[in-house]
Amino acid sequence: MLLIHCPYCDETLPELEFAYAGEAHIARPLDPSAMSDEEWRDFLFIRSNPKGPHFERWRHIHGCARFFNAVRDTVSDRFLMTYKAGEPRPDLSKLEAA
Amino acid sequence: MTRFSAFAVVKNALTGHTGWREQWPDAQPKKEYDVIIVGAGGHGLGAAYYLAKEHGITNVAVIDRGWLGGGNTGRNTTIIRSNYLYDESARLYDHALDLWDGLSQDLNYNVMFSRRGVMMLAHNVHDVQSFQRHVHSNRLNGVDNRWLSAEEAKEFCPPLNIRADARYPVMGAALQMRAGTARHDAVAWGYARTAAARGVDIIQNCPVIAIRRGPDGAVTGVDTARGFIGAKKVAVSAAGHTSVVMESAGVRMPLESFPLQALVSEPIKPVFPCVVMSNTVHAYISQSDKGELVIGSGTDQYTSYSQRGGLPLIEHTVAAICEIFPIFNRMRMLRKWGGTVDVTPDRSAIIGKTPVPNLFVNCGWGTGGFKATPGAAHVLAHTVATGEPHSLNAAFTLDRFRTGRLIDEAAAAAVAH
Amino acid sequence: MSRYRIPGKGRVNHAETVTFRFDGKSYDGLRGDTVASALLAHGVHLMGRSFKYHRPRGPVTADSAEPNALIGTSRGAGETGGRFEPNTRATVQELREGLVAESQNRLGSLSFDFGAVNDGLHPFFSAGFYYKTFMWPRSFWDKLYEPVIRRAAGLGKPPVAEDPDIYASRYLHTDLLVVGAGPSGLMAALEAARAGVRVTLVDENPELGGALLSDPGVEIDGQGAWDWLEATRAELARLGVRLMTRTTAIGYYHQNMVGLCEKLTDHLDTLPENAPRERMWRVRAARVVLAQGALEKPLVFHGNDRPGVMLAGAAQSYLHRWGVRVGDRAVIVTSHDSAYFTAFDLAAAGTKIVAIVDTRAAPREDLRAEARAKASRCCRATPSPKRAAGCALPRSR
Repeated sequence: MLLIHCPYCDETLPELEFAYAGEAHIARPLDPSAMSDEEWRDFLFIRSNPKGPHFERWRHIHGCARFFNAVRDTVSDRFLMTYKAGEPRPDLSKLEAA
Repeated sequence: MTRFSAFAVVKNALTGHTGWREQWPDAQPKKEYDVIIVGAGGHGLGAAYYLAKEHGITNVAVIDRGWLGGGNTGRNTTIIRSNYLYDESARLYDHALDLWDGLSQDLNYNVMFSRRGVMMLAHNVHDVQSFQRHVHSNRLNGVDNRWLSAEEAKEFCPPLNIRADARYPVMGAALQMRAGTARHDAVAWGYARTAAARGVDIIQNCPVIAIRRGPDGAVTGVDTARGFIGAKKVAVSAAGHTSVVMESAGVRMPLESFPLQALVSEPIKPVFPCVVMSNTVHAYISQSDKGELVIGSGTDQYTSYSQRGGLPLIEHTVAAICEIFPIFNRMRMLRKWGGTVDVTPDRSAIIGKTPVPNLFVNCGWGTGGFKATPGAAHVLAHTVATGEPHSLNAAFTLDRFRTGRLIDEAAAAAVAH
Repeated sequence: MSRYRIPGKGRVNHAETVTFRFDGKSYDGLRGDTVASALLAHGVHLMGRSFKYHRPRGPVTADSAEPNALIGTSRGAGETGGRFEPNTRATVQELREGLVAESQNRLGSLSFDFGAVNDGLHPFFSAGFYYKTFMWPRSFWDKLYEPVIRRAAGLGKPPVAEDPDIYASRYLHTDLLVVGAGPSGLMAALEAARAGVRVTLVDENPELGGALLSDPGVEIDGQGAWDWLEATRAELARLGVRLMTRTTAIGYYHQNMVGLCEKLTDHLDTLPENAPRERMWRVRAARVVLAQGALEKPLVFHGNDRPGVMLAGAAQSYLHRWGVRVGDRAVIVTSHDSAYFTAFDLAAAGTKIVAIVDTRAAPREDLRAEARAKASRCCRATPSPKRAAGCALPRSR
């Protein structure tokens, strides 16, 4: 069971308090009807699914209930960092493994 | 290829077992093949077999980063069924079931296909409605499936707890009698042996690093740990690693890879006659021919290639098994492990062409690829050989995610979705 | 008094007899025995049959890694059947008054198992033979072949009644989890606790000590091993270390989560009201020390699976922990110094060491000298199927 640091509560808590919320930084289109089928498909379904550092969202459902972002390595499952929603995607080259 | 039979077993027994040949050679890669299949699991090896047998295409290599059948084919809970909701699914999975029926004889390798019946438990009104809908849909498609009352379910599977005060009350069940289990390793080995006998090269311990494309965009071959291997056509059948492999070809996929855990108990004499699945509690169970209880869980909630997963998940699964089958409380689990499953948004597979000329893909089977093995292999071979999908996989396109023609089998897929 | 028990020896209570049944026959053991040690005290080595060939099997180990001595156990008179447990390791199951044990996987009796015909026919049942046959006629698979295979497979009898016991689970947070309470684990826990760290120390055995339990002659800081053990246990308790025995660590998960299974009642004569039988702990530790110790490896040779062939360390454990000589005559085969001390201990206890066979080119001279004084040469003898009665040594140099 993973231990996840909620950036809002500023506490590291067990995975059971959280719900995984998919890949991060996939912006909801401002004007869906202006999108091509390919663009809409990409938004809904296409995911990077990397074997390595992954930018993803979590929601602290049994805590503050807020969404936040994380960078986690999908091979070791180690969290490199977590950061609040709205903050920019961090530069991977500057991150050290937790 | 040595013909396997009781006669061969007896003959070799009487001559000190010195007559057996290796079942497949450790092939060294050639410079080029007509077809390269990336992934030597059940689907990949099976596709090579059908390419050779039905299409006369034998200049084929099946390449795997590890040992053949060492991925999800070697790790699954062996359940075979075709009780999916939609017409397209029912037809494809039932085609697989037809092929399972004669597979041992086809391959001259006993895959131990056991039609012991698969029973899906309904624990609440929603389950009842959903499964009854599946029963009706299946019957309309000529797929056997019938509704059982709780009492009938218990009669079919005596260890089942149907008491009103059960932690997970049973309101009924859907039973597909034609469904069951098979020995997963035997499927990989059976396909490998007959494919190799027909000239297919199986290249193990050779990770594919990238798919190479020519100036016209079509595939030219694969870069591997042992160098470049040319191919006129490439089919990717790499389960949890599909996104990684396809990325190298410039194709982004609607897939996410999750850990899936399973366990076996210590072996006991026969006590569990069938397969039972409980979607609502994410637990499924059968008893293997070795006597072990084979128990499967749901996926962990986050994407991962670690093949690990967390303790609470399997604790919950085993606790649920103990509530539903209270005689198993004192059984000990002998082994637990995890695999990596690639899941699509509609929980249906993708088998077919890609935007890259001569690149084909077979993926997205999620937690349920084993049951489809001969069917998927068969239609994949057809698609690669002819360049066009078989009628049975025509709907399972990559393109459906653009057109919106999804095939939503979340309920039938049964696990933790 | 059982023939192979040494009066007053071991950590068992010689003043407290515990009666149990194995395959319908009643035996006396001592409080602190396992089913295996109690049976060995009576000279019983045959405790099971192998999976496929039904070859006779006896204990190979004195601990949880036991592959052979698998028995079915229940609580005996008045038992509803819901507490029947298959595949129990006789080397792990502590003796309790009224325990009923039965051997597994035999057609007929354990000594006369009709299933042993498989062994006679073993060339026909070689590894993976079922992949090469049972395919014709097709319909025979469902109707005949598979049911026969299923009945032949499996080891233990399946449970058929509902288990009336309850099981609990809890979380535990700790600064340091030490897995294994042998000398290394004990020292690690001690040092940490003395430094003020909150420590949890777990061991699968009923008591702390690990390898020390089998080696009372060892000295630590000038103290005899068992005296040091008792002093250490007392200090750990005084320092507030959480000591958990009969507790197996079952898995090491992400970020120092460890699952523990604690057995609470299997060793008790009578069950307390409403007591859980086992407790599952989900431990989150800031740090984990793994001190599970070593597993002795068996050697492979023709006949190595017969009852009476066991690890030298196991023979030593039976002697020192349970006061049981595993036989009157023994041959020791080794590639390690420690087996010599086992041989010397067994010789001192009255077991004739027929030979020490060392695979190394140049064993320690002082050990060889002592061995020459205490052991004699090996002789050829015909092996008996149910108990290793002799050995043939390959002539070398």
